[in-house]
Amino acid sequence: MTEISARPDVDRRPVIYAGRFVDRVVAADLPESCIVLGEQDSPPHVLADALDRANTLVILDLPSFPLDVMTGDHWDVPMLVVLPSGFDTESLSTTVGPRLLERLGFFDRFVVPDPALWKELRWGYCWAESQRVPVLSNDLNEVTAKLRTLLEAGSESPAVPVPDHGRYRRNNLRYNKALHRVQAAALAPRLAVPPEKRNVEAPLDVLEVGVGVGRWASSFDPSETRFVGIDASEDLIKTARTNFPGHRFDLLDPDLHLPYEDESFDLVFGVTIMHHHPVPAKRTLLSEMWRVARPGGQLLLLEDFVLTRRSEKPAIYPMSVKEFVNLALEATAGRVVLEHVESLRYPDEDLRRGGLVSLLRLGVPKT
Amino acid sequence: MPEDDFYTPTDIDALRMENELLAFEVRFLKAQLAELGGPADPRAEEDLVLLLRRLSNSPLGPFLRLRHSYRTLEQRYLDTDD
Repeated sequence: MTEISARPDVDRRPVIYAGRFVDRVVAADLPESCIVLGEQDSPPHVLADALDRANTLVILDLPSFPLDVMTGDHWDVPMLVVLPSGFDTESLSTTVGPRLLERLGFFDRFVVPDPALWKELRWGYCWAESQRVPVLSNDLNEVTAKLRTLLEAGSESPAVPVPDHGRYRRNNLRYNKALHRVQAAALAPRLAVPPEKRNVEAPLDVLEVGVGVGRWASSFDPSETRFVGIDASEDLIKTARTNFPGHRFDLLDPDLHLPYEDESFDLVFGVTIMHHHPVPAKRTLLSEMWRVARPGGQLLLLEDFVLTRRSEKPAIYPMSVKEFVNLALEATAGRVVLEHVESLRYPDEDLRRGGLVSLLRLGVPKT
Repeated sequence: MPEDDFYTPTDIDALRMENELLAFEVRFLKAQLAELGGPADPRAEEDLVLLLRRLSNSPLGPFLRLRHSYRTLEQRYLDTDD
């Protein structure tokens, strides 16, 4: 077992829980920075201490992993889970569904050799295709070889590309996962399909503007919603299509006009998109989002309204929330009502700088 | 402006922006609360004062005053000391 650093919050390292296979994993020549823990030498306090300063958690032996040790921000550590062989979807969901699988998301990865099992799990838990680490078998030698490659490529190389702008920190997946958790908690009640609209014959139409690789697409069940994502980057759209084949993704023209009919969507939303654009483009986007929203539909925007540091990308156009709402009223000729405003504080930050703004489109639906 | 002409917020700028965001949120929540509670009717309080005064001056007054909640109502709306 590698000795754990005594300094908290410094020197974050990958933690590999090898369980019963610890001897073989130690012999597998993984990078020296890894902390390898076995079943016998990881009492709860040692494991919890290791997780406090982990940048990645690899669970090689899931059946012996003490999931109860995971508390609080341990869930912010990006995880790579080797799903044990001999289990089907039902048995996995029964044994570790609520305690583990339901808590994992876009920033976690899975080793599942069986493509059919992966397909079932991916649909069931709304995971992205690129979250799968491709292996041919659960053979420990193959898995550790793959793991070595991943760790050598960069201990925090992202499972799936995240937008590299504004708030996200390059090469810090733990922070990005924590940030995603805060955003998801604020967005979840707004993105949920209202019970009265849970009609399979007429699912809710949802549009995400600036969809990227589809990070929020996993929030929507294809049986309840028709999700469409649009983005100006062709590469991101290609990845999104691979990630979520059940959803539709379109390329946005540089003029920012949305290629959809008027009043086509019940919910139109965007997460941290507006600060990329100067005011005239913001106005066009807001106006377009309003145009394609149905009367009574929701326009939802999660933005940064407080900038505290220079972005790695220079083209950032900050705007106060008051100015933003005024612009929204202007772009929609006042035909919206402010339904919800909420400020967000991100992990390890003093200021509340995120803002969630929900607007309802007024008007009478076309018949 | 910094040398490269791109905006870099200072700490004071960031605080000012946060203050504006929170002030906007508070204003929104107050408006929402007022909407949920409905506009307060000033006549309701006048009616309550009249009713309390009649009860207090009636033969039932001393008995009602044995209850702590009634005394609280009197203190709140009739400006009594006890």
